[in-house]
Amino acid sequence: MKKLVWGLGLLLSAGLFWSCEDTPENPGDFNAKAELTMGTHFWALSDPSRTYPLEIETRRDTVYKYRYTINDTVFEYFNDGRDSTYVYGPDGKPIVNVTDTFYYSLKKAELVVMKPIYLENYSDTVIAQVFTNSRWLAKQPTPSGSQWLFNYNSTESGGGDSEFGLRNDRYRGKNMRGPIYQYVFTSDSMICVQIPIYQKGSADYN
Amino acid sequence: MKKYILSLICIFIAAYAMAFNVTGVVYEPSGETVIGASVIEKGKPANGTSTNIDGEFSLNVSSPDATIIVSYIGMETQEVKLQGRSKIEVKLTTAGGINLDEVVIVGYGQQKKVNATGAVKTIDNKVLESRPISNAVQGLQGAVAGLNITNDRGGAPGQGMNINIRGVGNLGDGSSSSPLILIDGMEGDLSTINPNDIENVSVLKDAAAASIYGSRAPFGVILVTTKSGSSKATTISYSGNVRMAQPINVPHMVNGYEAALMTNDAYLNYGGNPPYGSVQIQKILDFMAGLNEGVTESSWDKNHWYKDQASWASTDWYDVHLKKLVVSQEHNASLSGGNDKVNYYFSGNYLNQNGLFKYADEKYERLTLTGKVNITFNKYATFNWTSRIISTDNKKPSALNDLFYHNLGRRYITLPVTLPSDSPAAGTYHYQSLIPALQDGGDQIQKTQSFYNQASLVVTPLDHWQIHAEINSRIENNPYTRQFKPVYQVLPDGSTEAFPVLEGLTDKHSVNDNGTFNVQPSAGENYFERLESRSNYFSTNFYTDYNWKFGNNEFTFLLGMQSEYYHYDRLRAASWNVAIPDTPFIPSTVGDKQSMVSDKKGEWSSLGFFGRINYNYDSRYLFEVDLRTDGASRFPSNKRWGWFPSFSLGWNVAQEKFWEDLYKTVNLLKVRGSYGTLGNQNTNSYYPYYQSMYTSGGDIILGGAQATVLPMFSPFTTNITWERIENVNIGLDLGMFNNRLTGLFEWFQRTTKDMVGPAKALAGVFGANAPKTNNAELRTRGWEVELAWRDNINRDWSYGISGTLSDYKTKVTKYDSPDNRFSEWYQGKDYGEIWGYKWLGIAQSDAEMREYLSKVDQSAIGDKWGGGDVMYQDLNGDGRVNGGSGTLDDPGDKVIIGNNTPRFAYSFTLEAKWKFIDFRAYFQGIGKRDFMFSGSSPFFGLAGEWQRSLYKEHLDYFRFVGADLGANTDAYYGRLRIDHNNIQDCDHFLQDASYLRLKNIQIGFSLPQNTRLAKYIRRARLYVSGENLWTHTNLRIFDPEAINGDWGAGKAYPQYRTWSIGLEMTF
Repeated sequence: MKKLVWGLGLLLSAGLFWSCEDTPENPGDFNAKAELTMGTHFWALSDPSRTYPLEIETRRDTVYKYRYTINDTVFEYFNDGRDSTYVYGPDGKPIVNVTDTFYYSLKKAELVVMKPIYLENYSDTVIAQVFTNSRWLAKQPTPSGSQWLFNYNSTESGGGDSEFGLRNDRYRGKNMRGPIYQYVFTSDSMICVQIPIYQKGSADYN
Repeated sequence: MKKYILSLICIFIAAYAMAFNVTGVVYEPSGETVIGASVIEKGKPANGTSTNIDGEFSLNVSSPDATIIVSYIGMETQEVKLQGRSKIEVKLTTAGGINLDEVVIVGYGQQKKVNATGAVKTIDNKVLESRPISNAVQGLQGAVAGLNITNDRGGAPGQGMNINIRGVGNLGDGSSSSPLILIDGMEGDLSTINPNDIENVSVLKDAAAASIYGSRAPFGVILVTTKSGSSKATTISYSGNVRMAQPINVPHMVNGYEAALMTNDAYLNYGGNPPYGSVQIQKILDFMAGLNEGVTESSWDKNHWYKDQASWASTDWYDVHLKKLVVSQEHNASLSGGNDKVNYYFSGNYLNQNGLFKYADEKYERLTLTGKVNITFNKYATFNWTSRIISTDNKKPSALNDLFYHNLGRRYITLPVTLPSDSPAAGTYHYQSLIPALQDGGDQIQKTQSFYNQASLVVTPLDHWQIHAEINSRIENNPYTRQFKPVYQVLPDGSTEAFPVLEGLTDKHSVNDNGTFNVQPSAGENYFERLESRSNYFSTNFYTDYNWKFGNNEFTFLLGMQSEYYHYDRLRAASWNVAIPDTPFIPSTVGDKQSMVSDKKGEWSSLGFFGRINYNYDSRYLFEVDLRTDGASRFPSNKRWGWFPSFSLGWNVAQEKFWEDLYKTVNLLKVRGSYGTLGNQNTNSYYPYYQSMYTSGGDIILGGAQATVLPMFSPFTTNITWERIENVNIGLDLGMFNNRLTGLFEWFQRTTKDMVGPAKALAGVFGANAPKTNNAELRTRGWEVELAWRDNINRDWSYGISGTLSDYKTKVTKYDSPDNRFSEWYQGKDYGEIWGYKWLGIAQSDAEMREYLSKVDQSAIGDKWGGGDVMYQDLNGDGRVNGGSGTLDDPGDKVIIGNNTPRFAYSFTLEAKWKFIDFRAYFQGIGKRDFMFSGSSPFFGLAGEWQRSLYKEHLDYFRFVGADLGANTDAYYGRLRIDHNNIQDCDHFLQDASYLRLKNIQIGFSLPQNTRLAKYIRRARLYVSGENLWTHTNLRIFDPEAINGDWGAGKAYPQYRTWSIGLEMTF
């Protein structure tokens, strides 16, 4: 009888062991390093023979500090069944109060500073290649004054080897304007390329 | 000297104690000797021997009055009292008196297997014994080659399965091709009969075998014979088991953090904005660390909780809803016995099966009571009466339907199960958890109450001549109720608010054409529906058979008639103005706008006359001809009758003189062939040739109320008539080494002619579809192989190995399709075809995709292509990837990439017995099957912005280096997107749904004969049995038997494995 009970117990244990199912794992590779390099030059879309060289000025390590804020949007509530509404500030936008800011995730990354490029003073569109194994981001550059440099076709991101372009307005001024800094960086921000961009004035053609 | 004499005396005494020698021969019912039969002295298990190659044995027993026990696998054990005899002959029989190696059950009788010419396979109940199954259909899966029992919908309690014999017989476009199931000669439901009552099951596969049943059986017949009493001493048996089930192959959802990142990727890859910001992601991480409760009141509406993807929990909804273990039980008791005049068999069975969902009060109960009495008046007349009561009760929440499985996979992983513990809603479930709807949303209860009565009288006026009169009746009452109760959620301020029980559906109340109600209740609705359904089935069989033997010639004549009548009545009423939810009733009302009623009746009848002649010459040359004529009420009067002939031939090669020397090795070698035509009267409608009009609530208001309208009738045809099914079958039966090795091979072709299909399309201005007519044709070809080996090594050891393998392919050989759309039926289409694109690969970068798009335009199937997206092949070289016009002439870049017909169905059984221990392992599988999870979010992860089911397998999608979930450039899936770019039907996503499953394994321990208990218990067996314990399949994510539901692929009740421990006792 004892052997019978032992036998049954072993059988049940074997069955329970066999019953376990494997759970699939995330195949993601967290050790792969992001890489990003620019092509050798910008070229003009209207005339590919007109090029603007892209050369590295310096490379240095830098540190990123991520942060996020807790916001509180102000609403007005009613007791008579009406839906709640935003409360607008003097600028005509809903009031959003930042109640807290959290800093986290210090990361060491590489900053690649390119030599400046000098665009002509007429309206033009230039394209450059990006070589990378990552998603890349290249937000439209923000000038200190009025906006004169735009992402061509509003492309601000891509994946892997790609091209991205910039479009500049015509400039009637006399003196060179700039720099505007175009940043191109990998999605994990481990590599950031900084491209200073100037536009010639009429005085630069004499 | 004294010592010497004493020793001699002792020896003489000892010799005298074992002095009696008995010799003998053991025969089986056919008269052949049995090799390896066990012969032991009763009470002295150590004293035994086995028969030699000539069936002879010699044994020294203790006294001339000893009793010996003779046993052999497949035969009934016999006890023989010597009573002084020193030479005996023992003739064994099988249990129940039928040796299934020798006999097959055919229509209206039995035939010796050696003389049968039709494709018939009879199996005993061993395949059903001691298995923790819910019904006999489940147990027969894989047991007989050509009997295809499949299930794609998982293992819900009471879940039905699809049955066909030798593949599909028609397109189901106006008629059905299910086999006829007869239980003791009367049509019945195999899923509700008590499996313990089954004695044997016979499958009639070809026309020669099935034609005797005429127009109800064009696609084969399953004959179930239940146990009867015997003229032996009264026997009381009990068997019971407790079973534990656990779900298998349940998807594993990703955690909240992964779900947020995957969702963000999907939006970004589409070109949209990621919905989960860094604040929310941090909250999700905090929840996973136990720092918050996953949800608060929303910031835009203070008195509602965050919901959908605005919350921040991490929940695997399958873990939440599915139990780890479910306990069920089954008990069976029977009483049988009798004498030469009267024998009886009574049995009762109770099954209680619980469901797998934690928050669902879900169960299936079945109670069956059977009584059979057989009276032999004299040598001229016997009478048999059988009554059977079957009652089933299937209860589950109204919210537990196919929509539930669809919604369960779509639950936001970031949604918490419960609401905050420091709020007025503490302890309650988030309404989107689906739990309140299951627990409090009302139940649906389907009951079936069937009462079968069968009486048969057999008169034998002369030897070899019998007259049979049978009357069968089945009365069914199938009440059904469904209730939707108001369900409420507790809001942040403590107040309550109703929400709909069925999530995601707009309010709807309508009556379908078949009388059922389509109900999607609104929030807070109090709905109750009741169905009273009754049906009566009545049939009579009168037939006579005569066997005439002279010389080497043997004739068997059969002549008979059969009539059937079926009537049903269904009255359904519903109200959503129910006063008391806890005791619901339909309120009395006049002109109530919150009620529905439907009343459906129907009836059909048939009458048939049949005859059969069997002839065999010296059991060598066999011939059979059948002729049947049937009239069916479903067809117009001038097309009501059809004639259905069939004939078959056979040659018993092993009975030939020239085979004598080989006979000891090959005792059965029979070649046979058959041809026959059967008619199919099983149209979906009972009145296909009548104009039909259905009243419904119209879209107009008359007198302030919604008017009842009678829409214009659809065109109908008066030409509709029988589908004609032609069967050709060639077979080979084999028996070797005294039937220790048996086998068969069949090849068949079945053509359904005059199949119901669509007539030529009418012009659009006509405003209606053309009626169905008999203008299509379908052909199925296939083959079957079975092999079995059974042997006794010695008196302690016996074993057996058997296997089946079958395959079929079905093709539409005639169909009126004006434009040959490959998504519909067309002439030449293989049943189960899957069309799709061909995969080229995943572009590793934007540049690679741009390069590809410069040569091949994929704009027809998506836009915003980039690195990580799929490149599909431009097969027709036109520079574009598209589906053309979806026709055979213009398929675009789509080709046939697979077929979802289950092919190469197989099974194999290993069994062994050693002394009192028996073992059996039964494997079943499908060798080839393709499946495409078209547009399925459970398979792809995302199949649209709001169709998401994110499982661990979906993490294998393309990601560039630097992604938060890690780089994955050698991925199975393309980039996640909220559109359909990367989830087109193509060969890469075609799944291999073949499988091999350990369907059953059991070990039993029988009470040895030499124990003290054996005096009181004739037989006792304790066993452990398991069902679906192990599965091998290459199918991603899902169980191969739970891949389809009403809401799409991958949305079905889980399949489960079962462990059981049971006891069988016979007193």
